[in-house]
Amino acid sequence: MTTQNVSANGLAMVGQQVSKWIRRPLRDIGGGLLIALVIEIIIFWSLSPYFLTFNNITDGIGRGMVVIGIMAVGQTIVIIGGGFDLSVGAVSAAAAITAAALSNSGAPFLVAVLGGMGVGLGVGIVNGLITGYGRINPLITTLAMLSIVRGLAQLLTGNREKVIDSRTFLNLGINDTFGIPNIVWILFACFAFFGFLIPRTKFGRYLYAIGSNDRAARLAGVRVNRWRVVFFGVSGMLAGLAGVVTTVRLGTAASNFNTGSELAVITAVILGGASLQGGKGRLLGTFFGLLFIQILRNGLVLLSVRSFWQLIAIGSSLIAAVLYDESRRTGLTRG
Amino acid sequence: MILEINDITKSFGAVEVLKGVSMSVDSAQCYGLVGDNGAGKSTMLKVLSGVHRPDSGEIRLEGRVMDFNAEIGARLAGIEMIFQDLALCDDLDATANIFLGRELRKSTVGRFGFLDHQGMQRQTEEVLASLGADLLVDQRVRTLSGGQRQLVAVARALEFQPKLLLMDEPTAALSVDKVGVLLELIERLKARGVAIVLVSHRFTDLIQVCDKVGVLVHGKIVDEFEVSGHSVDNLTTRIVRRMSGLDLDGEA
Repeated sequence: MTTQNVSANGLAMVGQQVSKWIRRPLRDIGGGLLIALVIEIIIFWSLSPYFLTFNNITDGIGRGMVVIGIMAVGQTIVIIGGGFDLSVGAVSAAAAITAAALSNSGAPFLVAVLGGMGVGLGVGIVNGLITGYGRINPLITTLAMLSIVRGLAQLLTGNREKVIDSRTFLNLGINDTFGIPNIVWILFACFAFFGFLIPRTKFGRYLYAIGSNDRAARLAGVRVNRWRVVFFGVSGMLAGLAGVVTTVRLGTAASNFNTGSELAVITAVILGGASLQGGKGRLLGTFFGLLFIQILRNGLVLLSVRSFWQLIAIGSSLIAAVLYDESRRTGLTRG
Repeated sequence: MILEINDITKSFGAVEVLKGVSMSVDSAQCYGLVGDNGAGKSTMLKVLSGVHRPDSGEIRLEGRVMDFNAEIGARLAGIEMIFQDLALCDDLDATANIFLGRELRKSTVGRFGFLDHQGMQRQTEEVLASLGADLLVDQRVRTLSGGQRQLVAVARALEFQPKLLLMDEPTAALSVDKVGVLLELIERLKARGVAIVLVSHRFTDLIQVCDKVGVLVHGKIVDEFEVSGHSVDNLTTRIVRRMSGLDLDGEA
């Protein structure tokens, strides 16, 4: 075989691999979302001269999508694993209050952050135990947990805001690195970390296996209930981190933080191609779904559209995404 | 003797499914288990594969008493099972299904380590080639035909060189030519020394590859006989009569 042939074969193999890397995610995400995203950008770009400025991209879109984005990473994991987590908004509020209380009592910055994440992890583990070992529907479990955690947060704070004293906390929310807000880097780190971990480890392999067919996974020796606790634990921990980031952004902590954020989080995940049946989804898809939601919210704000229209738009996107998911799963709509 | 089962009983609530089943399988032997729906065949296989724990009785594998409290225990002991519904994860590819629960990892630090995708794909290609299966190892199982899915389930059972292979209706979804491949494979496995317990409604398939047949009726083995030296017609008649509650002369 000549050197030319070898290099040609090598190039062909690299080409095939690259094509696989591009084709597979595209197939899972669905071209529909990417087209919708492009149309959305064109519409807002044509309607608002401020939309595609650097400031709006980094602050309006970038900073604005961090909290929902971090929660969406955890939600993607739970949904691929065949679950559902409605408690993320309430958990983020509880975590924010914990981090603020620790910080104001003189605890070092890292301890306050870990404390907030720890609260989220704890609630997530309880969610996992109830849905896994208790065999209670995740929708019911996390809906109940939403109420319990939000109620506890109100009880402990007396429904009053906690103002953060720590400069480290506040600086993290204000400062940039390489022109990009630090909290946006935190979001990128979450996507990158789990995006790296999922295809390469048992965590990711069992995530898809359990979401696809939990009985088959159990028969293959996978400790399904234990892994469910891990998936919900990760979601809770990331919701906790999202709560800390909310505190960092606003300089306060309150029990009503991120109320209703579950809607945007779940919409981003489903828009990104994750299936409510489990076993399907990608973080890359969630990222594009998140981008779609945040651009929608940001664009409507720039156009001075009243805020309740945002809710209507996001709710409509969720229905459209679920219908799209259902049609992809079952083929053509049957009568 | 690879497998000895003594007086196994299993009930689900008030329903007694297995009422003292005893049987034995030698290495390089195929034991056919027949019976009507609800006779307890699948339950028997699930007890052997660690899915269900027996209420009483004893399972010995190579002379050692086994007490599986989970499916993985049976698999680690060398018992593999091909389930009637195949128990595959549709959203995973063939490789991921075959290695599910026993993934190969590159370098490991304690319990942590990255998956060895290339190693698992290479071994999957080998085991599928040995079955004559023409499918892509990275193709999602959802997109495969019934026969191809069955071959993935068979490949999963063979990949880890089992001592005892349990097969629950393995030919149910196969085309005629693939049934031939599977029966040939059973012969090859027997030649390698693997013991097999085969449950099938297709008596002709069963008689073709089994050395011994047990007839299970209402949770009890009512007849057990060697296959060699008898014609297919005679054996089929004997099985049908026993399943119908008749003795060998046709008396009820």
